[in-house]
Amino acid sequence: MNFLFKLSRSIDAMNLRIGVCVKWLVLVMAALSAGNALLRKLFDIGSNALLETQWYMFAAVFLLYAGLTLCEQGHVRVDLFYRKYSEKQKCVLDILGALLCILPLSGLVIYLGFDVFWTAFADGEMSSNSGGLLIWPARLLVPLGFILLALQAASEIIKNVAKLKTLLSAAPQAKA
Amino acid sequence: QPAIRWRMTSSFPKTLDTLFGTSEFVCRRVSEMTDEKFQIQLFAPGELVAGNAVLDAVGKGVVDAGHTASNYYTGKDPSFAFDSVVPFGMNSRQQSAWMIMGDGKKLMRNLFKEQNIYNVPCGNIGTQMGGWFRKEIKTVADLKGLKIRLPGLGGDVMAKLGALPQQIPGSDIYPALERGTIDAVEWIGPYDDEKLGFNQVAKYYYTPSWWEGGGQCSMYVNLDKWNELPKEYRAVFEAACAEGQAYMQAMYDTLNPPALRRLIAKGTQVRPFSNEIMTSAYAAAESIYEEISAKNPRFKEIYDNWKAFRNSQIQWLGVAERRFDNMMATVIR
Amino acid sequence: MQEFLVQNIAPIMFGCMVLMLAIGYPVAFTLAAHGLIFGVIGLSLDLLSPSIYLSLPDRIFSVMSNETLLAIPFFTFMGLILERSGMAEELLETIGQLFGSVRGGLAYAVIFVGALLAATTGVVAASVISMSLISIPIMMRYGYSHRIAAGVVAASGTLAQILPPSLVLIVMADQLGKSVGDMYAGAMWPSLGLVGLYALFIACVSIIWPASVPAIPPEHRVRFDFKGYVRAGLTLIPPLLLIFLVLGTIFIGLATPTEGGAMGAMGAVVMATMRKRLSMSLLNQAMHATAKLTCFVIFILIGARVFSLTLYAVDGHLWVEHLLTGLPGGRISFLVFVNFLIFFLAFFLDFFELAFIVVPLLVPVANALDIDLVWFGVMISLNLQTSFMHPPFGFSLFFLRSAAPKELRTTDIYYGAIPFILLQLLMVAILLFAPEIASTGRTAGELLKPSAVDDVMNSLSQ
Ligand code: NA
Ligand code: NA
Repeated sequence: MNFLFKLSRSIDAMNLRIGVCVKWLVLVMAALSAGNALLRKLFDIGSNALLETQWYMFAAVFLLYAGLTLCEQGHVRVDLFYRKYSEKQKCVLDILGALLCILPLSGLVIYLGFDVFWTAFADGEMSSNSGGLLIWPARLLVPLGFILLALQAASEIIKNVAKLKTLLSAAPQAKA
Repeated sequence: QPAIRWRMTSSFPKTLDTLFGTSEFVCRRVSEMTDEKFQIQLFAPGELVAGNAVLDAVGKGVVDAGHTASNYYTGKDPSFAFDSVVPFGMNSRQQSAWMIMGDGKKLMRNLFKEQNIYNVPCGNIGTQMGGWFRKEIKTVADLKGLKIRLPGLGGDVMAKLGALPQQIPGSDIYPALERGTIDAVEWIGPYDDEKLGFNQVAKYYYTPSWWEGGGQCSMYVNLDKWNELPKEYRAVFEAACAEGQAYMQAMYDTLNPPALRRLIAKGTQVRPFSNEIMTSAYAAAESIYEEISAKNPRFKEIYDNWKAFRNSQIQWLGVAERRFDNMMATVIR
Repeated sequence: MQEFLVQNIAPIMFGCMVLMLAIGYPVAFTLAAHGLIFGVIGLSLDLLSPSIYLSLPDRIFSVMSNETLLAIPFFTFMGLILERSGMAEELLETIGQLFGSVRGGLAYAVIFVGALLAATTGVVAASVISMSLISIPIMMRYGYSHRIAAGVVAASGTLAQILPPSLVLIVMADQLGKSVGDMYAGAMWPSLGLVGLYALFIACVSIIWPASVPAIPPEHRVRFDFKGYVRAGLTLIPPLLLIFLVLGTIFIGLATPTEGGAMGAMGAVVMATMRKRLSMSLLNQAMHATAKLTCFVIFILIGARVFSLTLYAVDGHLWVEHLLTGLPGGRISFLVFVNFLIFFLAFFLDFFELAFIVVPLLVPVANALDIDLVWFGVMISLNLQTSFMHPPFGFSLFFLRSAAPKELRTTDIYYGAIPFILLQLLMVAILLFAPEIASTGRTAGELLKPSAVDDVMNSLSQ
């Protein structure tokens, strides 16, 4: 169990650290996009590579943030019933959700996405736009993002199981 | 014969009734010719497969077949462009000759086999228009810094002439052209362009699209599915695609003239590209092909064969066809 | 049993989706899992082949490479900087103060600012999130009814989808084969009408339930002398500059609409820095929150893409198509039926599914009945606006929920949305009986006579 706690803590820390770097892309891509508009208008400078870099960064932001967003409960729920659940019920729901919703999806996307990345990498596939970028970095982001998501889901399971255990062991004592 | 049900995706949205309509036509003909035993269910782009991802999807068997244009996949290998259109390439009729009787079929089949695809030509748009410009372009110097939305090899040629190809998002095209954020946009031809209303925001309509002297569309079939298909059905499928080939060209030839008349009546100024621009663009295109050939032996193999065929076609068609066409244009005035 | 499943797989899918979402696991993952579960069911019923799912990475890739979605982080970032630096509050506060003694003043300010924001972006997520960040806390502080506050923010934020520029209108133009410019022109008056209806509603509320939209209490009110007006004027300069950066740069042909969002975001950063309001920790918070909100919005889209993949694979779209066969024949009855149908389907389908599945099926019928497609498209777009607002699954409500403080209860959001949905339907009805509101005024007549066109054509074909 101790090992699992350690694992969960290091996953959380890793996603946090990745987030600390990735969030700067928000500022960078806004600056790039605004700068691109100015350069194009004022100096007739511009390229499709600059345009494509923007969406590469956008993709990096939301995919590489997937783990951290899950960790910080950033995904919205329909809380019609959810807010009435007890702490125990919430734990059970989050364990089942991570097991049944996130892990199968992530597994599928990682497996298939890596294959797609590999083809693009091996072929040296380029964007078909004039002066466009290599495709594989963008393709790689898909499995990478879902790996981070799947790891975080595992961490959430560990944390919720632990919480459930304490809740369950606390309950009879409270009665007594 | 067994009952067979296939799924086909199109790269072209339903609103392009000429392009999407051709795949609908092919599916209907296949069904009619097999007494409804061979049914193909058609999906619009985005429903199962994104419009520019048909190659991978058909190769992997996500869908059994796909109707698309091979120049969408030049990022994988520029050789794919020869299956559709390249700048200063062949017109619709010449392309068909290369694909049906020339070496085009063999060369293209080899290329597509590696993608686990059996390809059949299915439709040609014909010579397209050169797009909508906010200001007149008379010389190569006018192209300097011109912001134009023009994908693929055509964009490469424009870039060589000093223009800025800007592949801005689809939803931004109209407002960007309206306000002059970009100076020019190219799409297809009068019939399809009219529907997008570019004439309301750009005055000059240039001709011809030297980067799209034709525009062959292709039917891709997953190779395993093709091999499994009974022989009779294969024949039916290829016959339907051949009909589709004629159908699309007929549709464009019928719909484009009245559409262009409407555009002109509403004030659109049609301008031909100057010879200076076109010859410079031709030279730029040639040098791009040489560059790619130096790096890509397959491209070189296809390019050499294709170029020799194109040049012989142009000479021959000039001897009779073009003389006849020019004479007719003069006498009907 | 099996037969029944096969025949009714689409409605069963919709029904189960509602149940599964209600359980309360995050929407994005529930949608995706629901798609995969029904994929397995479809497989066991032999309705689809597993190879369909090979397109999953590509479906995600097409969301990644959709540059239009860049507007989401740009406008969210702008909203966050404005909010965290206190500049947004100042703006709302000032406008609110100008209305000072007027009941509902803040709500009018929200509607006004929402319309301005809608005029700069076509992406609902961006505008709802930034609006709720800015305005919910301040409305709560001044004692507004939580329901009114939530409703007015969700509705004003959703204006982004009908007030040009608009992603919805662009997609609709594409589906109808009409020009984007015509759709924009046609939507202009109806969407302004909607803004008017919202304001009218607040006016009614302020008369009937004055306590729910209080005026700013006298002790908080600023007395406006000459200096006060000057100061008020000065607080208006930064937002006006921002509006110029977003709208003006598009207008003068400097930026595309997507880049306009980035101009606004950078403008907000520069302004906050100049006014010494931007600390490192604030910038960090804003970037973190932007990344998180972007992630959650896009993952809902991805979940929906997984769901719709299965829906198409089991021919769910054909079921919707069958719903439409046997439509009533007359013009008005067709339109009324269509509007009710879309309103109903909007409970289950999001805007993209509706636009791509339902609209293409309606176009031939509308054409046959000689219905002006621009008018028709604007009407459907107005109606689709309700699909963002339907409790409990409207996307705007999700966005609002994620960005609003916890004290705002989810039920407040649901109840708050209802009157505004009714207002949207009212606007649909008004448009139904007064089509001229959506006239484009752009139908440039033919300038040249046929013989002149002949001359041009002949000279071109030398
Ligand atoms: Na074209
Ligand atoms: Na808008």
